[in-house]
Amino acid sequence: MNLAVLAGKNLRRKLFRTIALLLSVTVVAGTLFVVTTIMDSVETSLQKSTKRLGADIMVVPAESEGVARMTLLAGKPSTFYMDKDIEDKVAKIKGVKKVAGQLFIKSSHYRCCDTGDLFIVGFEPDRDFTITPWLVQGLKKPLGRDEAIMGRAISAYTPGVTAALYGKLFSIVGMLEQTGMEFIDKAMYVTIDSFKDMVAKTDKGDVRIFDNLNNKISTVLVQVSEEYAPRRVAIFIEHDIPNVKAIVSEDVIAAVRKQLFALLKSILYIIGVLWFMSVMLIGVVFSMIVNERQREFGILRAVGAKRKDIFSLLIYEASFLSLSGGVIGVALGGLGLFIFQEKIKALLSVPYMWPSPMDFVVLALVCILISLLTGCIAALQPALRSMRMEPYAQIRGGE
Amino acid sequence: MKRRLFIVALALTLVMGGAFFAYAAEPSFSGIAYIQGHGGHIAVVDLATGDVARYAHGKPSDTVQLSKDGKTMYVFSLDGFAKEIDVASGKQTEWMKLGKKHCGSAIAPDGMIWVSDMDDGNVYVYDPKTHKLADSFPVSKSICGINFSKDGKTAYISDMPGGFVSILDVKTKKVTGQIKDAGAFIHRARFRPGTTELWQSDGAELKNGEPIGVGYADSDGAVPGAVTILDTTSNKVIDRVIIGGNPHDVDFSKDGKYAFVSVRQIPEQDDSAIVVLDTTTKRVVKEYSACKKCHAAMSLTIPKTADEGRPFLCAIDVNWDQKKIPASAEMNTSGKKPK
Amino acid sequence: MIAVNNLTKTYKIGKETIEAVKGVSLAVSKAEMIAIVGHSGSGKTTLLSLIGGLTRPEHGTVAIGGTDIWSISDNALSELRNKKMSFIFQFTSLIPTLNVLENVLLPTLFGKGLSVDYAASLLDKVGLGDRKGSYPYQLSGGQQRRVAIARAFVNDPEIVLADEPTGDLDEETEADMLSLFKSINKEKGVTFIIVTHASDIARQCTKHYVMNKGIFGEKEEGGRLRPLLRPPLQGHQCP
Ligand SMILES: Nc1ncnc2c1ncn2[C@@H]1O[C@H](COP(=O)(O)OP(=O)(O)OP(=O)(O)O)[C@@H](O)[C@H]1O
Ligand SMILES: [Mg+2]
Repeated sequence: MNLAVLAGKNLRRKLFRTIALLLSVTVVAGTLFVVTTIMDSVETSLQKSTKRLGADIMVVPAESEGVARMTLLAGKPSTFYMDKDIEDKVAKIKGVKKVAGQLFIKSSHYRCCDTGDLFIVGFEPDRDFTITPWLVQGLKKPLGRDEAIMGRAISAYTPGVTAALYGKLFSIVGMLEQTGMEFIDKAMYVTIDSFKDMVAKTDKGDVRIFDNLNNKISTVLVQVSEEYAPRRVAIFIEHDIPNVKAIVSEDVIAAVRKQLFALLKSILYIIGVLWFMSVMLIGVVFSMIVNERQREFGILRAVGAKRKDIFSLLIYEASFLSLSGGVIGVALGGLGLFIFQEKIKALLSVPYMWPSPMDFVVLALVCILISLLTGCIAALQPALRSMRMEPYAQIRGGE
Repeated sequence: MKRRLFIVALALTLVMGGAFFAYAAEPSFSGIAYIQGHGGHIAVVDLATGDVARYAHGKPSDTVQLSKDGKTMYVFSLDGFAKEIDVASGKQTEWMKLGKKHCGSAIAPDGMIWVSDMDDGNVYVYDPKTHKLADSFPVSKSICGINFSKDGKTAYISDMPGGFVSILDVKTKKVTGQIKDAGAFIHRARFRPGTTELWQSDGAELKNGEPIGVGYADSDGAVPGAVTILDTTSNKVIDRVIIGGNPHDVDFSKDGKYAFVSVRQIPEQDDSAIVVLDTTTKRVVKEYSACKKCHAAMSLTIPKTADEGRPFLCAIDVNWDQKKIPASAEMNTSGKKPK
Repeated sequence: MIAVNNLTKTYKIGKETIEAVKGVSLAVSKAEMIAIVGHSGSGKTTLLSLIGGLTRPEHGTVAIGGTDIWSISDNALSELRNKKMSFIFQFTSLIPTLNVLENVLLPTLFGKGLSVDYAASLLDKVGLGDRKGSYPYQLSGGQQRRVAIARAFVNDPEIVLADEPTGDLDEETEADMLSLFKSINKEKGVTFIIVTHASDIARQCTKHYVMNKGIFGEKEEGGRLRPLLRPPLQGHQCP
């Protein structure tokens, strides 16, 4: 037997009280864990989105700004077009380091064996800086006109397989890392040049699918040189090139972050209040417990307990209680997150992803640690008080 | 307390003395002043007759910029939008988002309009040719007045609560220096023609080093409204003309003999006005009502929610070549008696 | 073994000052067994607490085996209590969350660990060998008292401070306990200070003292005690 066992027995004696206190910690720990996990997820997913985009600025047709932002954030694939010469115009703007054009189309069952409903991104392998760095395995040679790279979520097509798009056959040679963004994970990547083949093939058929797609582009992705702020270069681009919108990825992320975090922060405040309340609750209850247990402490002192033993006993009790409350809270919170993950994704409309396992563990530990502190802080004053009393007074006080 | 009384007395003496002087030997002018106001309109004052009219544009704003040819007004609002108003026809463009909270503006040597932002401390460069934002760069924290040196190489941009002026290289758009202790709470400013004297509308919004809100000149311990004259050769304040109220901008007669200071909350009057200073004697020689005259004639009242129901003017830009209030301006007070 | 010199302890209740113990001096040698008797409220419990270092006197000193207990640290004093002394309190002193055996083992929680077997044998000696797993609320007052008595010996103390150890026991059990004390006193040379109203116990002690309003007096050995001092027995405890 040791002090911890004694503490455990004490908690079990007043089971109802113990459970009530434990629940208050559970609620705090659970909500705290859920909210911080969501915040972390949002942050990771936003950051990954921008990083994944690899571009500081995304130039799109002015009228498609809203759709483009949705694509960027919610990962909803969409198509929009502007003249291809915009790419060269952008390249000439002050502060622009690299440009890479991309052309978006949606596939359809044009011929019998075509793959339908795929989001297809045409890119320029020699200029690209946003797709190829994210290949799971690097390509041995530049992407050919008959080759394609697949997003991670299209499980039906793995390297080595052939896919038909508008009558043109592509052999899949690579696969991208998972991003959680639908429009990247569910897209197929081919060279812009290969679009010409597809256009040619459809031109021969009865339906003309593409009108002048040869000189079109959907977006120009821009990397900004170090000495210029992306925001400023975006101004330059919009000023010099008519009818385009230069979306600064930082700004998109910042705006969303601000919006979401404002909401989550107010929840955090509530958690703060809850936390304070549970500290108070545990504090008051412990204070009461301590009063009714003074004689017990006096007896312990008489049989040789040191002051610090009395202190430890109470802190043990509080820590057991809040620690188990915290663990249960985190477990329940995690379970809730797991069960409702789809709902949460939909609610936040970001490509929600779980935080990295490391983050997850750290968050869980932090929440449990905070729970543990809850008990310790609450029990501190009663514990100190009991520790300082004279044993005889304690024994008599309990009479 | 004594100091405050002294300052108020001094301000009153100056204004009253000025009024007396103006009565005694009031100079006459010919030109049209455009004054931006918080009520979402620009007051147009005929400096010959004192008549007032207005262009309503809808957004509370601090600054208005007349094009060099006087044909266009550029308005930059307190919520960060830009608008162009054609003086002759009164036609207005749609509001266009620029920055966050615009304070001052000036036409740069290359024809672009630099607009200061007191929220993020950036200058937003508006291109009047393409009607678009052309550039944006950081200066300091809460900037307002912008002025270019005669050679066009240097820009002076004041930081309002900071009381300093940043020196910028116009070509690189980089801050190269700072003039400290240039004033207390510097609003807009202007070079006196033919000199290196930067006349800055200053003060009245600080109390014990803290901003006290808009327009309280007489609050205990507040810095009185003044024009602080900064010499950009020595980068030192060379004079401080106490005016009272809350000066917000300065313009000059072509010869630089008279300064036209737009002042909010003229002491003892519930009005904002143009206070004319003789630049040699530094005395008030004349005063024009910029708000009340028109408001009274039109029986306009300001909602109590906005600026506590008081008329607040801001930037002033005078077109000396214009002889009459343009016909497109509405609510002309000429021929109307105050109700 | 125990040297008490000029001990004084006062309590303040409001403006009133109660002198619970007034200038008590006492010397107890090793393996002595002394009895203290006195009217209720005469300061006996307070005196025992002072000797055991459970409360600090205003004046005077207590030395145990040559060490002044108030000159050592609180931790050392706790250790002293744990290793050399034990208390049998006048009132119930069991921990309600612990069962009988655990209650007996309580002192080992803070110091030297004597075996469970030893604790069990002590319980046998107080006649509760078959109640090891019971909880205090399942025991009668007398049984609880006997558990407390067993506990007092589990740490193999040098000094036992017993405050009316047989207060709620019937005469037969009282006699058993007394013989237990005596045998331990004899075998291990344990020093006993026993506060008692029972004349039997007082008679069998090497010395006995009388306390009256905090003042301490010795009574001649073998002298008769007035039966008045024995509190009336209650209810079922009557022989
Ligand atoms: N904590 C205390 N505060 C105030 N008075 C106290 C305190 N402890 C004891 N006393 C007083 O000190 C006196 C002696 O008390 P004590 O308990 O030592 O008597 P006692 O001889 O053990 O009596 P009993 O035979 O009834 O147990 C009593 O008058 C009691 O009221
Ligand atoms: Mg007693």
